Amino acid sequence: MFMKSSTLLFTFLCFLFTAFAQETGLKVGDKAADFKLKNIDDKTVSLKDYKKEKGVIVIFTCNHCPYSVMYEDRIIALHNTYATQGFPVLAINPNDVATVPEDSFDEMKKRAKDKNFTFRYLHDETQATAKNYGATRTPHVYLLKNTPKGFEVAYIGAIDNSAKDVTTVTEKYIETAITALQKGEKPAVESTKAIGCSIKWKKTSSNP
Amino acid sequence: MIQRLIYTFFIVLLFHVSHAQNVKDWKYDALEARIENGKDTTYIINFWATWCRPCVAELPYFEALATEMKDQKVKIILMSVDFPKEKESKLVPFIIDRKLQNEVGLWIEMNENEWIDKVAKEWSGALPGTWVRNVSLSHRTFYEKSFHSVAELNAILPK
Repeated sequence: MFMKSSTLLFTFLCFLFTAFAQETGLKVGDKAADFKLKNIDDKTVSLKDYKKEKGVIVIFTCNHCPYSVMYEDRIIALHNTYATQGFPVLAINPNDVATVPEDSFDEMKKRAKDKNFTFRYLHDETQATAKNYGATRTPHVYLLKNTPKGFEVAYIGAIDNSAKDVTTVTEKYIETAITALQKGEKPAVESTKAIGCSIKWKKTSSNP
Repeated sequence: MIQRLIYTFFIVLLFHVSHAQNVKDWKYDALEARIENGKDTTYIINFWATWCRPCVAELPYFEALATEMKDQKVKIILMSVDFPKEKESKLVPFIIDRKLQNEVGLWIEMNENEWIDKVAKEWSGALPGTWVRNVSLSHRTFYEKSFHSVAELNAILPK
């Protein structure tokens, strides 16, 4: 009887854990989790390396996704404009290489070279960073602001409101949010949604 | 000979155009009105794109479900979020190539931050996504995931 109820309790706890695990991820106002990931120059980069910056534009993105490709030039432009103002771009590719060979570390290096990426492009090989942040798609942006207590999430979502056509953009979410942060204000729009490619998680028994 | 070539050309053109016209453009309000009018029909709206690999991988299960459900009040719409300008060059040839039997629509709503929430608050926008609606049963669910069998799809139908 005791065995039975403890098994039941254990199952229940496992269930709870799984339920909550799916709900985790950072929200606006949360402290940004640190990470140590390999950059395309083979050096390890951590969020701590950015402690002198005013903030970081963390973008989960990849090579293969058409939505990521559509935003490549806009991501380059963001970095070129805002790195000198203390808000560099930090791109992270979280996709499982077995599922998408075009998103391998070597392919990342090639893509960065072809497109002249001036920002760092990290490989989230274990996918732990994407999971910690709660990223679901590419591109998925987390705008971080530096505070005396460390990096804090200021905005989560899209770069702007017109992925498919840059000429019809009416709201540049990241730029507006950075302008607010520069004035010491909270971004008026703190989170947005956008279509994107689902992050290709490694295959497990619960994720066939 | 030349006459025959011209004739063939026009036949091919006509065939192409008639197929292209089968893919209707959709916005939220029109889709909502159709679902409302369908009353006790269960609508399965699958948001997908030709360039989205997990989406393409699960299409056969939606096709098989349609065959299984052909005598039931179940309507599947494969709602493509492909680029509107690639409707004729990519979407239509894909439909012909895969011999898709389900109705295919082209989603032309632009402001993603608005329309994704209208469809489902719980959807982050990652593809594929599947929306199940039945007005009579007040059934409204959304699945931000890939399906790997017809049985798995069967399980999301309102009972």
